Amino acid sequence: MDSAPVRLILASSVAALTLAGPTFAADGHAPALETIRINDNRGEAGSLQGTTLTVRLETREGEWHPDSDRDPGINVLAFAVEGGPLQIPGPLIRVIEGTEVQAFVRNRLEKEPLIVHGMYTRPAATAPEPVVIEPGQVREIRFRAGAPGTYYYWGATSHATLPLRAARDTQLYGGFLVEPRGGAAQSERVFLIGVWATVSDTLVPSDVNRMVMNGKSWPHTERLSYQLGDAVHLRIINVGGAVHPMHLHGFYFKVDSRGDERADAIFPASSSPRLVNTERLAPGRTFSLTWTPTRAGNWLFHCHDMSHIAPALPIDGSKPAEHQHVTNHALEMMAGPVVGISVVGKDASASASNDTKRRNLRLIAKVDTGGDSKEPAYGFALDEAGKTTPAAPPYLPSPPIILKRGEPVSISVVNELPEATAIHWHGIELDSYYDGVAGFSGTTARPSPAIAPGQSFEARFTPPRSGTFIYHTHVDEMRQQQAGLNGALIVVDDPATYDPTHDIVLLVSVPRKEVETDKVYINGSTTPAALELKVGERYRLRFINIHIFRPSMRMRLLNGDTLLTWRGIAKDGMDLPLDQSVVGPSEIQMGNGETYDFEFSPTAPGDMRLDVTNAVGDLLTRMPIRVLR
Amino acid sequence: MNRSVWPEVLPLAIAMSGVLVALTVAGPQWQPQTSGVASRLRGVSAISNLVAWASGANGTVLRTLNGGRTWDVLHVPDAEQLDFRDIDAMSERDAYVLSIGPGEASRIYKTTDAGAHWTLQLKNTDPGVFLDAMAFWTPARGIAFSDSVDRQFVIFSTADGGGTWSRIPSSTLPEALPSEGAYAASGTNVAMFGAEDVWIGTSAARVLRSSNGGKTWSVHPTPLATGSSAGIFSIAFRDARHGIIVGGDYRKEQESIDNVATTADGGVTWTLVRQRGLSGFRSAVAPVPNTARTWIAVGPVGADRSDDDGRTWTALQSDGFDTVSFGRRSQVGWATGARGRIARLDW
Repeated sequence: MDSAPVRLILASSVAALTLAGPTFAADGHAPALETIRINDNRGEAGSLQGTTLTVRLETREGEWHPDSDRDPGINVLAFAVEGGPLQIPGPLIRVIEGTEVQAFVRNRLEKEPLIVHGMYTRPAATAPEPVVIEPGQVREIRFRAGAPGTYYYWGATSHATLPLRAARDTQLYGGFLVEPRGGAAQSERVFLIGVWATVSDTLVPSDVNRMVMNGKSWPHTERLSYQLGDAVHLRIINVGGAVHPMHLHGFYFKVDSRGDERADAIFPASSSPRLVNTERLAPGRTFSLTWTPTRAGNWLFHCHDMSHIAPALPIDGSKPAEHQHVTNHALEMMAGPVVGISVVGKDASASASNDTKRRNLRLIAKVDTGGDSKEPAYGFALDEAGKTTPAAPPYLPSPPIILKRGEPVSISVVNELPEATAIHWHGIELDSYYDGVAGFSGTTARPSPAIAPGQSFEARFTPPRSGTFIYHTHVDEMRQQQAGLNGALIVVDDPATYDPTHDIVLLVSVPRKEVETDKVYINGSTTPAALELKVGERYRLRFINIHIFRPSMRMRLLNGDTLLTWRGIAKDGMDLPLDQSVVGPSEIQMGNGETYDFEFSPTAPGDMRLDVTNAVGDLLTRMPIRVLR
Repeated sequence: MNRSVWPEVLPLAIAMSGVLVALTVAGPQWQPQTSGVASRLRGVSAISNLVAWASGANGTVLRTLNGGRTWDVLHVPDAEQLDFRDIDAMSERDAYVLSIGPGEASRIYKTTDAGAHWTLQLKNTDPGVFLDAMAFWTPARGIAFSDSVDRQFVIFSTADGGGTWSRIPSSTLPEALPSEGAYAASGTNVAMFGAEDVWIGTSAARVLRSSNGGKTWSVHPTPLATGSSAGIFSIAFRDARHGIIVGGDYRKEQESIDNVATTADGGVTWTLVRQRGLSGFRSAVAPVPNTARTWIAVGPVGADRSDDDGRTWTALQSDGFDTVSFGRRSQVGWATGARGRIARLDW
C-alpha cells in the first residue's frame, strides 16, 4: 500500500519567504553536531533575585531526533540556556506576574541574524517589533511579565511569521508562563506543538514533515500517567503552522483559558464551564484544560486532523518501508501530535459487566461498490434483530446509530473488509477497553484488539448523555476514513420519537476519490439533495466534521448572502448551559472531530442554502434548502 | 434563568480579566409596560432583549417577542384555578411553568410550541408536597423544590426535558428542619449556575447546595432572619462562587432587619450585610448580566441596587415588584408584580 498522502495545510498565506531546504545529519559530510535534548517543560530557566528573573539563552544548530533517538536526525536551530545543551522546546520561562524579566539572548550562528519574538509585557494589543540579534552578538531584553497567562517566545533567522519560518528555524520556540500572584501552584504539564516541514517556493509543504509535542512525534512522545480522580491540568501551545483540533478520548475536559502570543483569556474557575472533548487550536494559539479522569485505562489526547497523525515519510528522505502486517495499530500506524495517558487506580464504575441486559446491535464493516485497492470504498450496515440497514449497497453514507441515553448497548463490530479495522466511539464516555484504539485502549496487559478480516469485536457501553457523537475507524485512519468508515452516533432520550426530518444530521467528510477532494461530502454526497424545511417549524441541526484533513471548515446557513440566526444548544454532545445557549449568526467554524448542535427555525418561505467552505471562503459543497410555507 | 457572563471574545475577556473598565452607574431605566392582565405575576423569565415570559395567578402565562411592547396571553387548559408562581423559559418557544399549592395544585407544565399546547409533566398527589420553585441547567436538565415532608426535603429532578420527574432519594439529602420549605413568592428560591451547581434557599434561612448536578447535597446555615413569615425568599449566583440571598418578613414589608447576605465561596458561608443594606423586604434578587458586581433586588414596596456584590445597597426609585429576570448576556430585564404589573429594565 502506498503511504497515505499527508496534507499539511499551512494556516496562513502571507508573502513567500526564502525557504532553505533541510540539511540532514545523516549525510556523512557535515561535521557532527550536538544532539538536541527533549525538554519536557518540567524545569524552569533563569535565576530569580528579588523580583527580577535573569535568563541567559543562546541559539545554536544541533541534531534533532523527532522520532526515536535511534532514528535519523535532522539539523535545526534550537535554544539553550547559555552554555547548556540545546533543547526542544526551548527553555521554559515561568514567572509570577509583576516579575521583571531580564533576558540575555546570544546568537551563536555564524552568518544569520536571530530575530526574537515574544519577549514583551502581556497583554499587548499588537506585538512589538521583534529583537534582531546579529551573528555573534548578545542582546539584553528587559520587560515586566504582565498579566497571568500561557504565552510563548520564538525565533527565526528571517522576518518570517511564525507559521512560515524556514524548516531549519521551526523549532526555535519556548513556553513563557506568567502565574498569578499568590495563585495556588498546581501540578500541570506544558506541551508545545511544533511543525517541521520543508515548504516549496509555492508554499506547498513537503510530504516529509514532523509534527511534535514537546519535540517528539508519537509514539515517542512522553507518556503521562495519573491516578483515578487526579485533577489533570495541561497547557497546550501551538507554535507551528498547522491547525490542531485536540481531542481527548473517553472524557470531557474543561477549557480554562484561550489565548495567543500576545494575550490570554483565563476563565475564572467560577465561570460557566466550557466542557468539550475537542478544542480547535489555530496556529499561534494556546489553551489550557482541566480534566479529572474517573475511569482507568489508556486514553489518547491527540490532534484529530488525520493527516497530522498518519505515519510521516522518513525524515531523511529515504523511501518508506513497504506496508507490512501491523501488529500494533497505535504504535505502528500513528504519528505526530499524540499523547498517551495512562490512568491507574481501582475503577469503581465497572459499567460493562456481562450480566447487564443490553440492546444488541451489529455494525458490519462492508466493502462498498466503486472502490479499488488504491481508493477503497468501505461502509457500514447496521443490524438489529435481523433487520439490516442498508440491506444492500451503496453503504454511503453510513447509517446513523440512534441510541437511548442510559440504555446499555452491545455493538458487535463485524469486519467483512479485506483488512483489519477497529471502531472508536468518538465522544462517548465509556470503558477504555471499548474505546477502539487497537493496541492501546484498555490496559497494557489487555489492550483492545484490532479486528482482523472475518472477525468481530463486541463494544459495550451505556451512553450517559444525549447528544451528537461519531463512530469511526481508528485504524489506518487516512485510508479507512476516506473509504467511508465513519458515521453519526446520535444519543437521544427516546429513540421512538426520533424524527430525522426535524433532527437533521449534517456529517461532513472527505470524498472517497482523490480527484474529488476539492469538495466535501455532506452526508455522503458532493451534491446533496435539497433539504425541505417548513416555516415556523423548528429543526435541530447536528453538524459533524469528520473530514480527514480540513480543520477549519465553515458551515453557513444563508439566505442570499445573508446569514440567518440560530441558537447554539450543544458542543461535542454536551448540552450548553443556558447562559451559553444564545442566539447568534448562523455560521460555525469547525475542527475535525468537533460536533455542534444548533436549533434553527425558518421564518419565511423561499430558497436558502447550507454552504460549507474552507477557512477563506472557497465553496466546498452546497446543500440547497427549500423553505415551504 | 441566565445568571452569568461567559466571555467568548478574547478582547472582551481580557478587558474583564484585567482592570475593569469603569461601569456606568446610570441604570436602570424603568419602563412600565401593559400586560393586559390583572393577576399577580410572581414568575418572569427573560431570554433576550426581545423575548420574555411571565406567569401568575389564575393560570396566567404571558409572552412577548418584541421587547415587551405587546404581551400575548397564553392559555393553559384547565389551569384557571392554578397560581403559576414560577416560569422558566428556555427559548421563545419552550417554557416550563410551575403552579403551587397543596396536593394536586402543585404541578409543572411545559410547552414546546410557544404555548399552543401544554403538557402536564408533574402532577403531585402527595398531600404534604407543596412545590415552590424550579430551575434548569439546560433545556433538558432541571430540578423542582417542594416544602419538606416529615423532615425530608422533597426535590424532583429531570434529565429529559421533563419527560420524567423523579424524586431525589432522601438518602442523598440532609435532614430538613421541622416545616422547612421555601416561600413561593418569586420563583427564585432555586439558583443554578453552569452545568452542575445548584442552591436552594429555604424558609429556615438555610441553603441547600449541590455542585454535582444534584447527586449529593449539603446544607449551610445563613444569618438571615427566620420566623413564620421570614426567611430566604430569593437566591442567585453570578458565578459558581458569588451569590446573594435576600428576604425579610413579608408581613413587614418596610422593615429591613437581617434580610440580605452574601457568599464568595459558593454558598458555604454567608455574611450578613449590616450597614447600608436593603431598604425593605425583598422577594427577588438577580445579578445584572455584563456587569462585574452589580445586582438588583426587588420587593413589593421597592427595589435596591448593589455595585459591590451585595456588600452595600442603594435604594432605587421603583414601583413594587415580586420578581425580576434578565435575558442571557442581556442588560434588558423585566420585573413583574401585583395587578399584572410589568416593567422593563434597561440597565
